Amino acid sequence: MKSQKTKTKKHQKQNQKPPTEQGEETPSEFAFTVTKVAVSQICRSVGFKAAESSALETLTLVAAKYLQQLASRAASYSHVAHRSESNLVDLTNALNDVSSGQGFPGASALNRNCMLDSGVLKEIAGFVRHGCEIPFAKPIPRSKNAHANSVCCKKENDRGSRSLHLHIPKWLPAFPDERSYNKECQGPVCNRSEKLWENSEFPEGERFTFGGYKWEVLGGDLAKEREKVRFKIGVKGNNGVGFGVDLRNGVCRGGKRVRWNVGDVIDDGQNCLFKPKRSLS
Amino acid sequence: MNHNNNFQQSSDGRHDDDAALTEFLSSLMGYTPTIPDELVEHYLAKSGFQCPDVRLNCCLCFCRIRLVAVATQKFVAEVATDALQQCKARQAAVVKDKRDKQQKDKRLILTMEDLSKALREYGVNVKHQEYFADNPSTGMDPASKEE
Repeated sequence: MKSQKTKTKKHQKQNQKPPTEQGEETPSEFAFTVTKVAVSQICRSVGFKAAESSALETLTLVAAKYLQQLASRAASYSHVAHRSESNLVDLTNALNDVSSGQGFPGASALNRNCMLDSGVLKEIAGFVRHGCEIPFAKPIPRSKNAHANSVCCKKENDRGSRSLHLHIPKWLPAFPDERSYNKECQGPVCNRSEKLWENSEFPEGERFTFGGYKWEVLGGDLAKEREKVRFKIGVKGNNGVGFGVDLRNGVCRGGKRVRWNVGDVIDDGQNCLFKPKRSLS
Repeated sequence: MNHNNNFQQSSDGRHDDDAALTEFLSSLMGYTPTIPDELVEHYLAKSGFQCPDVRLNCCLCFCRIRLVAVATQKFVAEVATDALQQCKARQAAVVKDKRDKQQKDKRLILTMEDLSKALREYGVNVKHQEYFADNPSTGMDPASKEE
């Protein structure tokens, strides 16, 4: 049986990496290497003097997957509760889930008194209290790219607005260029196709505050003063082209007319920026 | 009356639990886990775990990161301990008389065999190739090789 015995020492691990790959490592490879160092430190603290490289890599993979599973379960618990940020309760539930295979004291009486009164947390508290602290071997430089990825604005010119948009989830589309809606910024107006959809019906020049910032509507395709639009549902046009839907049935029975007025801007700081007024006549 | 007493006891118990939990969380801030914060942040971001930026010195987020790191460290330590037990049991079975006592001082090495046995209890099934051969006839008897 071929086995490669590797000493669990930091400098040996560093020397094993060929110099050509040092600048070309992807973030996941780098993370894997760092995890391997941490896992080997833990193995040494437990009592091992050396480790097979395949065994060490397997344990590192398992540890990374455990971490990711904890995080994804906590995230899913928070999403189910209509939140985007996970809190301690989500983490506790995730820990309970992950430890349920192995079992922990108090697993049968979960959530009876307090969500946070979990056996898992107590075990971790005991581990922290009695175990010795093993800080990581070497300091890891905090990469600036990681911060840029965590910011939701995917704009190229991010001038100082990184710290403002951390509350916005990453998966939403990026904000338009600030110069397009903020007249204080000098610069040409950007392409209208990139404007916010909420502003498409607003008259140009209207100002309102939302989220602590002053917004000015760039304006859409509609003029400020416009007449009311009246149209009848279920009536065929002169050229005989209909809507394709039989609107004579159901709610629109009888050919009712629908009138749509552009509503007022309601600045109550909630999600709905405007409230349309609709009246049936 | 009994109900009132029970309620009192449970609320007092809850108070103690809250105090213990707060104490534990504050102790987490002073404990440096082996798995560094930057690595944990990387994996959390990869898995969709949202939390405010640590750079804003948000104590709560720091707590969560540390908790995840400590939980993972505890898990790895448990697996490693189980593998160590397997290794020691295997070495103890080999030792038969006093002459072989030196083998007990042999270095403890983490092998795939011990690791797979330890991980099986945690639901992770790891199978490792015994060996890798250069060609199909490697390891065969010379007599059958000639045929």
